[in-house]
Amino acid sequence: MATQDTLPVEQQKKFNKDDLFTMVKVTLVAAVVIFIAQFVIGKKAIIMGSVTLTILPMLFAVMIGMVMSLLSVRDKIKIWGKIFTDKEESFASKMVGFSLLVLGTQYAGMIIPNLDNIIAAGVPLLFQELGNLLPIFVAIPLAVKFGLGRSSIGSCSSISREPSIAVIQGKYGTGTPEYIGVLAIYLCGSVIGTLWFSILGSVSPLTGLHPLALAAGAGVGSGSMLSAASGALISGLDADMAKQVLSIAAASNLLSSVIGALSLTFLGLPLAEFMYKICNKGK
Amino acid sequence: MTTILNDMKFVFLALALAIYTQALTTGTPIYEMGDSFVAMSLVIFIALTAKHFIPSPLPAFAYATIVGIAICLPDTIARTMLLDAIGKVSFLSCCVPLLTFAGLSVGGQMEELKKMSWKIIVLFLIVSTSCFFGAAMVAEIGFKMKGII
Repeated sequence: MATQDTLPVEQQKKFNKDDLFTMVKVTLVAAVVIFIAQFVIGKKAIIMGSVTLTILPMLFAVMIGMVMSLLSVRDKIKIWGKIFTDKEESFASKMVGFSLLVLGTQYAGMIIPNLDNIIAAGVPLLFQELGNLLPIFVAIPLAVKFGLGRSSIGSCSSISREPSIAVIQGKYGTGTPEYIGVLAIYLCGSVIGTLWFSILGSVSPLTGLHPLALAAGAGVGSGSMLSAASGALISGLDADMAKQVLSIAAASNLLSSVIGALSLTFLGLPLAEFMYKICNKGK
Repeated sequence: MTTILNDMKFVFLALALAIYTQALTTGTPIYEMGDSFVAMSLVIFIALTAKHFIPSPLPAFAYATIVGIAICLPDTIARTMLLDAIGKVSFLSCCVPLLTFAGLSVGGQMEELKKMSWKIIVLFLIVSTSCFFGAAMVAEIGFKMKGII
């Protein structure tokens, strides 16, 4: 028994040492990427006519990270390929979960001071989450036509931000088609989402919907999508209305990040599975 | 319990990077955010413990939000201290390390994404647009019913 016990412990120690090395490497790499994105590049604004496009450092961070971890980059630059192996990559993906925990405390810090604001907008904002089920009816049939199979469920059941990734990872697991689907839309959203939401924010008033209602729409995605869409929405509104629009947009964003996970778990995913079945029956 | 304590190591790492990002952004000295570090670790520790003993389909970070709100709801000194501590590190500063790790963790899967190519971009545009207008339309009806607009 004793010998059996000692062996795993020794193995574990060695394992921990390797792990520690991976941890230090990935942390240093991340710190450098953050430094470049946040400090060297910083926030950039692109002015296109009347539309000002703000690119936040986090967008540069995700792009630099993606390029660095590309297999082709790792193959071409041999030293880098040795430093950053699959093990480092999987550690980075583990760290996404832990960074999310930190973000979770941030949400709490944002909700508490805005509680009155949210309660005032109340029930309608709560039901706004139902509007987020729309892509299930619109996009899943298309995704099935595209031949994406079960990744359709991951990619089209929600706007695929952090809460959606967490929910789908929890339900289907990493590496499943559903997970790859949600990650693909997440990445698209991280890269072109800010741009797209600023376009939505500037074009949507043409639909005749009230600015406050559009503000609720502006909050469905990430923080940068929120700022892009609401920033575009308030251009041309008077100061008082602009403040209201911003507070509703922020409240909507807070609500969708908290209720979003719940609604995706209990409404979105069952509905997406159902829709997926219907679409495949037709084939 | 060992898993939770083990996980906390990585939480500390994530927190340290968020604080580092904040220092880079605003120049706030790192030692001034010590209370942020302690407060957020505490909330996350309670959240992980809660997740362990009260399992649910909610993601772990939602537990952190709920625990944070629960601590802050009663108007006590804990509320002021926690809000103050969390507020020192901005939301965006917490996003940057998250997205850095997200980027670093997906490059290997890019081959998979390349296969999906333009279809994924089309899908993203449709998904996000329908989310935006879906929420806006529901809100329009709701706000009208409540007489807000």
